[in-house]
Amino acid sequence: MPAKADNIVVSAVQSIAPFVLVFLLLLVTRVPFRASDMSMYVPLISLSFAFYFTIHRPRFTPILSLFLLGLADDFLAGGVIGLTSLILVSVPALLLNQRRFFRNRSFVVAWAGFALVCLGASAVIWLVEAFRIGAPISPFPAIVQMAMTLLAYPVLSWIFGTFERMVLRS
Amino acid sequence: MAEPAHRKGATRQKLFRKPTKKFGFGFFFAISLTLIVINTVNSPVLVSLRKEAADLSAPVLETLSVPAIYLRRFVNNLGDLADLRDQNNRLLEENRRLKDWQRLADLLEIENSRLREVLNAKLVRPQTLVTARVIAVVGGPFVRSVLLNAGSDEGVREGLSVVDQNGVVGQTVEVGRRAARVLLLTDFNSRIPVRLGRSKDNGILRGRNEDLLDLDFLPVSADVVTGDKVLTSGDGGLFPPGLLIGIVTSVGSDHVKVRPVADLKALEFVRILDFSASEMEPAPQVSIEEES
Repeated sequence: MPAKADNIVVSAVQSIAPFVLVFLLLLVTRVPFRASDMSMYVPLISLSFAFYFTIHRPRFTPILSLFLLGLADDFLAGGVIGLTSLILVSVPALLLNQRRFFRNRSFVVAWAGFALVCLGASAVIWLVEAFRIGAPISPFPAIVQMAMTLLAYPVLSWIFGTFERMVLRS
Repeated sequence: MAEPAHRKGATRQKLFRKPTKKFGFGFFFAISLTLIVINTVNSPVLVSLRKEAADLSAPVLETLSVPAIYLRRFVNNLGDLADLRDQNNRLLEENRRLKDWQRLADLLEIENSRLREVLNAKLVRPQTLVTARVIAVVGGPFVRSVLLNAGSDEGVREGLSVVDQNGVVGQTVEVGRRAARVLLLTDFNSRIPVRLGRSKDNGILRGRNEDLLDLDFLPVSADVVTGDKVLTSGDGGLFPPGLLIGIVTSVGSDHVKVRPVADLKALEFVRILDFSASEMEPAPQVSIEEES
């Protein structure tokens, strides 16, 4: 029985751990290391997280958790509530049938797939923000943010991969 | 032909799992969309949730911001060390010029106070409510705001002006108990009534989500040139009049661009001004003899 209880605890910790990691990363990106007008250069870490874990460890990214993570990101950013949630819950829906394809290909293929996801996400962000502001706005900030997200993906996927090996497979 | 029992189970599981996933996606997608729509009507529930979220995250962000600020200072100091001699010469020259300005300001202050006495006019000075530290840069590609470590517990309210050592930074928009969010004047939603320092023409300063601001709604006959100072006009009661906001950097046929004087790239400490609580003080009696 104690062994069973231990398993439950380990399993619970493992389920929460990825979200704790990504939430800490989100907090770190908010500290004032940087200039206040550099927000568009901060990568959307939660999107990288959703993409990576949907491909490699879908068990750890239930749709409810992604929804809550998106909400947390939106509340922290002070932006449109629901926007990041909308993008994050769409990731597993988009990758539902392509997961195995990306898993069995090289990193570059997964990265190219992520580029497509980023493109779609930047279009959604731009459209929703234009709707919120109520005026035509330049898509440039959204494109820059997604370009930064794409550039940061190799580093973030390495962090997620290391975390996966150290915590989730132990 | 009868299907083996384990295959039957697997098929049932597949059939069950996929619609559940699809339903989950559809359900949360719909909730997210609903939230986005609710945002546009500025729902009080969402606003209070935002304040709670700011309050909850403030202690963590405040702790994380301390090493970040030291790191930034260290990097800045390294840069400063490189040109210490040049900086010293620049500061000596600036000090000499500032002393000249101080003498002139003292003379004008005396003249002003005498004129106020003659007219029986009172001086309006906004009071510093609290000095707060920037604990987080919150925002995204289309939002420019910062989080301060002061909230309603310190008397901060929504709509107060926030300034740094150079000029206006923005305005408090969401105030929790321990933290307040400041909408920077570069944000898309920022609109500030202003007056040109030289010609006294009024306009509206608009954030463009860029380093520079747009000066709109100037009179057709407005007299504006590059280098003009832009001050708050005090219209609408949002900002106290006479706070320096920026300098006109370019004047075109259909646009006037203004660069903010506040150091928005390295905000650390800011002052929150309480305009409504400012008292109508009698003009201070200053004399050069006393100062010297």
